[in-house]
Amino acid sequence: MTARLSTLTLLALLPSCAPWGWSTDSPDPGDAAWVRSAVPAVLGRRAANSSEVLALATIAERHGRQAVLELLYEQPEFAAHWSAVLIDDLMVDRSTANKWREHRRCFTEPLVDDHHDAALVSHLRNARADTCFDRQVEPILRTSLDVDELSRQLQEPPSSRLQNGSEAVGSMLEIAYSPGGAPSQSVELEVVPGTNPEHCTPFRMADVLRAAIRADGLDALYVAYLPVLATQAYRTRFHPVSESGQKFLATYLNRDPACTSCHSGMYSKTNTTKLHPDWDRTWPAEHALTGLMVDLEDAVFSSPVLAHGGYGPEGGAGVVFNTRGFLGYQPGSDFLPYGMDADCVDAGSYTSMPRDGTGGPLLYTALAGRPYGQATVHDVAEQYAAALRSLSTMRLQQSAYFSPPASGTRTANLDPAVHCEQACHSTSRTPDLSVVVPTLRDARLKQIIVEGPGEMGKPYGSLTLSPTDKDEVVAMLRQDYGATVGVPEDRDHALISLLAMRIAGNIWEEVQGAPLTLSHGQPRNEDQATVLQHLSRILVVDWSLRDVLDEILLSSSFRPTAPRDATVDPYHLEPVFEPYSDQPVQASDERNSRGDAVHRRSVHALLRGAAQALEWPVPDPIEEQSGSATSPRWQSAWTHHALGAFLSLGAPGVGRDTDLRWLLEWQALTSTCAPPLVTGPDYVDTLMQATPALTLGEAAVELKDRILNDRTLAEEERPALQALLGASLDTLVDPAQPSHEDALRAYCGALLQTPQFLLAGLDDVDDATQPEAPTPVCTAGPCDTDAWCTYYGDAAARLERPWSCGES
Amino acid sequence: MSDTSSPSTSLSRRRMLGLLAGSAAALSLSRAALADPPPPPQVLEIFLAGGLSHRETLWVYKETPDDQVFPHLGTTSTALPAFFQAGSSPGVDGGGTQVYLGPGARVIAGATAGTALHRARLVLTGHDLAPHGPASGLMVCGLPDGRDRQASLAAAVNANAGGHASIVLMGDRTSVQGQVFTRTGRYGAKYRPLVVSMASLRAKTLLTSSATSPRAQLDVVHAHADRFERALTWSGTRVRSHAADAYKASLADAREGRAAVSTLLGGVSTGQGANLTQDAILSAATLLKAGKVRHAAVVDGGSLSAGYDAHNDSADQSGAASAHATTANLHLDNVLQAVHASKVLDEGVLVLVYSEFGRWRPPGYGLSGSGHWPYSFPVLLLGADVTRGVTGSLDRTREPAGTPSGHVSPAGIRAVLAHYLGLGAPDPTTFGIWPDEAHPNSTFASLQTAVLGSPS
Repeated sequence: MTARLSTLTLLALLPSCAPWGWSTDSPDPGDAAWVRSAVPAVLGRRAANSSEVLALATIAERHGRQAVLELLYEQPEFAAHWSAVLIDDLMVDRSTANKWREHRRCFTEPLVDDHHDAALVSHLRNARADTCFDRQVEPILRTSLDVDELSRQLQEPPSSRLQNGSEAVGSMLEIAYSPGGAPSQSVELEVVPGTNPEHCTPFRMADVLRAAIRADGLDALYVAYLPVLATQAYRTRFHPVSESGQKFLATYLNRDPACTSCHSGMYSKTNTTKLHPDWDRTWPAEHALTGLMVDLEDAVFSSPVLAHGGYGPEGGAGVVFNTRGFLGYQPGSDFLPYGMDADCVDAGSYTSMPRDGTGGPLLYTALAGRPYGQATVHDVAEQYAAALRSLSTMRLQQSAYFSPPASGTRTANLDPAVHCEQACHSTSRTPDLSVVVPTLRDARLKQIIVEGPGEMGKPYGSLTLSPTDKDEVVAMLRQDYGATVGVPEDRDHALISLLAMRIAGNIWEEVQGAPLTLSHGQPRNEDQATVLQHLSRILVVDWSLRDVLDEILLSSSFRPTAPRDATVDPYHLEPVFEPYSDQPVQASDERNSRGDAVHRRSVHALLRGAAQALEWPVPDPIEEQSGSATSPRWQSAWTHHALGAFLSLGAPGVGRDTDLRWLLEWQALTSTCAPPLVTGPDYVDTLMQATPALTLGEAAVELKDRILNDRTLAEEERPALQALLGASLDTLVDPAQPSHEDALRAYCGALLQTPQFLLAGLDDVDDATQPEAPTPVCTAGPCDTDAWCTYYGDAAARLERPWSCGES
Repeated sequence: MSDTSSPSTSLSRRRMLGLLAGSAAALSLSRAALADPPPPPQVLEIFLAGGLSHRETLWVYKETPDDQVFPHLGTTSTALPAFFQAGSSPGVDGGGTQVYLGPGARVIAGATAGTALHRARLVLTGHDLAPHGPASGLMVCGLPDGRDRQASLAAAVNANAGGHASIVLMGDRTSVQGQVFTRTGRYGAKYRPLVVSMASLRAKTLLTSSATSPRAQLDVVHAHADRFERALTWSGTRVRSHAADAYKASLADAREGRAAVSTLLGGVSTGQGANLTQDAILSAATLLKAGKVRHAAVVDGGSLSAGYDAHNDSADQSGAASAHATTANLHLDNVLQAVHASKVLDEGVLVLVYSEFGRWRPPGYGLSGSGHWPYSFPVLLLGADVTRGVTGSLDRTREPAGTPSGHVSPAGIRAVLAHYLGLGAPDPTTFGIWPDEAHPNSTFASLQTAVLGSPS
């Protein structure tokens, strides 16, 4: 248990809006079906075969599904897969047209051994940007020490524990309170790195990605990425529009000032008011201490133009130009932020990132709280770093936005009846004035209450007032409903809140296929808002990817059940997948069904899934366009983009669509099932060479197991299969017969195009027809169920968990 | 509303055939032409993504009646007097102001343009969505984002005609805007049109590639897809699933509709025009004239320089010269030259040219140039049964607040075009385009007149 987490678990549970209220009548598909869906969600690949499914299902049965997840998080594919996903989330430009060849090294070629992951996360969390990374410094904030042990250690001289001139300064804080109990102690530590350049270790974003996933600190990733964004701005400054500004708004805030005049956390307006007044709605973040809702946009942006949109009469087109030059910097010294490698923050000419700032205009001066023209990316980075650091010492204020429940008992401890009468669970679409007024500053209050934001009317009735009268109305509202609470001094926490919601939303979307917000960054309905805020609370506890994945994968929202139980209403799910179903065309549409949860897997999951099933190399997600001579498509950035990967702001990818063009791209990539690179025999070769020889039918079953985790050949499938193979299923595979290999590869290509492979959210495998003790054909690694049990048993032993799944 | 059309020159070929049918004159026409029913109506819509500065291109007027030139058109103004004297006006607006098509429409309105101007109509429309994304969704689909029945005309044609009766061709720099055409409401994933990027004819290449799946392989895939479909069926009812619908439709295209799609893509090629947008328009014309599609859409982002999304250089209210006028008119000229060269207007195809909004500088606008102006801007209709004229009056200030007079909503324009194409009544469980909200008190006949003009 880390020092940070141990502090949080002692906190009183504050009121929360987020009962994880998934339908209790959602049928559970059973452990095997859950494993078949959870493994791709965590690792980006299918289970290797039915034996791995059975082994993990047994562990789930004996020790719970959480135990399975803990084992999966220890697999090497976990960091590899989520690195690729996070690179998309960060909107890393993969377009070679933008001269970003050197960037590939930054994001794919690590410099630091993974043993230092915890130290790297600690460095990024705690060190200033003008320090370097000394991997010999103990990652003291990420040790396995509990609070008491850490406190004892701090009685010793810090220099005796830290090396190479670095030291840790610790102080005891009494900040945490257990429910009804006495204050507990916690520790604030500041790492003061050494100044000896010999100990500086350059690192790249590839290291940060891996470390943030393995050492479980996504906050470190987002701190490190800020100066990288700044470098992008410098290198692409010929670009007419500020890409870095747009990327920052998208990746850190999920807010577009073009949208915020009509859609903010406190206020959201549609243009259908006359016809459908109920469609004007919002589900803002709630201040858990005061019970008031919080205007996050207002707290984050000190500029009204940015906070409340640029398309009103005053704003004009200013937003576009206010983001130009965002995160710019000037050369002038040899400063490399956080000691990062020059491949990430410089291509060779990069020299400095001055603090005295002559950088970009409104956007980040607003963020950094500095006067116009006097803030730089360094200020923004410091803003984030300070805000993140503050979470370790300002738990109660942190809880103003998020109410971290106790680990492992999240769902049980959340009582929906305690609170949220007007915020999350209100059926009224426009919040009550007594709730809204104290959350707004005067200017925003005037805009919303009196004038009406943007061009879409006034939410609290139509008032025609003179300018003097408007001010008077504001004063009256203030008198009646109270002074401003919470803004703008809560900017740090608003920044973190928006970041947490962005990250949590991305994780949900990767797993569940559907976003929790619309393009303006706001949830579409109350259920989406509830899920988003709940996951954000989970995330901000320790910025743990695993905690959020646990919450999703163990919930009833992740039950890929095929509808075999006719007694269950098919539309029994909350409308988080298809959010528009709260505008029912038919009565049954008010909620979602499993059909709404069906989605195309992400491009990264598909590519990794195909590669690992067939023992092909996993394509580098930032590979150049050329690829290899044998299969240029496999590593082409353009192919990846055509299949959905982010390439650039102008080519963001096709999302999760599966139109004809997408299917043709996928077919071109996989239908021949030809090994993409010449790396030796693949799994089809293994089947061809199996001893004793397999029949074509047996080989087909092995392929299907590898690719779909299904060892059955249904009767209706057999005629088509036999036609494709061009021979009886009983024909023995002859390694000397090219037609046999062609036939098996054609079947392999077919399986890669099936909805069972491409789509997630619904598992249609009938476990009753699966063999109890499959004996798959393998060449390397664990193969049968016993071998997988041993494999995972060893992993459990490393985690010091007494888990087992085999007979022994 | 004004109508200055000349009946003798404003008839489309199809319409003339219809009028002559049964008369003696008709007997002199091709027997085959008269024996066959008239070809179904066709529409080519051209979406100028980015927000066309209409005051410099499609809606030019004099600040005062005595003005001899149009100073805000800037460098293009030197050649303007002769152009405007030649008669580049479709008419006067509802407020009595003579409106001219700008020099970018010279191929339509110039002295040598033939009769195209007699079948040109400007229809003022408006909405209140200023950001590009939502405005594009509204203008392309007629309904705002998120509505159950929101769908592009392309998708509606597919839903009505089955298969691929429509195609969307993207010129350069418009990949995001092109996605708007694939919107098909909550139930219409199977109706999505084929969207082809002219900059990358990957779909065409892929369809003819030996790497794509042979029929026998797709049969195996289909067997698995059938099983998946059964898993989506609860108590005999197949539940809603956009993702499964989209997959199923694509698989059907790849399996059964391969020839049709291949034929469609066969009509798309580059190198015909001076740039990708012209290629897209000429390809669309090829498909329309060959009867391969009922509807085609071309998305143009302004293929020649900075595109339509210009702020600082576009005309402001002071009448100062606009550097953007030159490039905006070049963009428009590029588009209309291709329309003219394609001869679709001679073939009775109705052409719609529009943008997601116009540009204007309202009082109090804090920056130079002009900004997005969704409240009042024109769309241009050409050819077919369109009669020359102007619908609506331009609201120059939007004060006092209110709907500018005589405008037709985006939904209304879509409804008329849907009716023109012969699309059936909308199915409430799928999607449709109908003026159920935009013009609740208008008769459909009056809406048709507003959009297409009075029939002669």
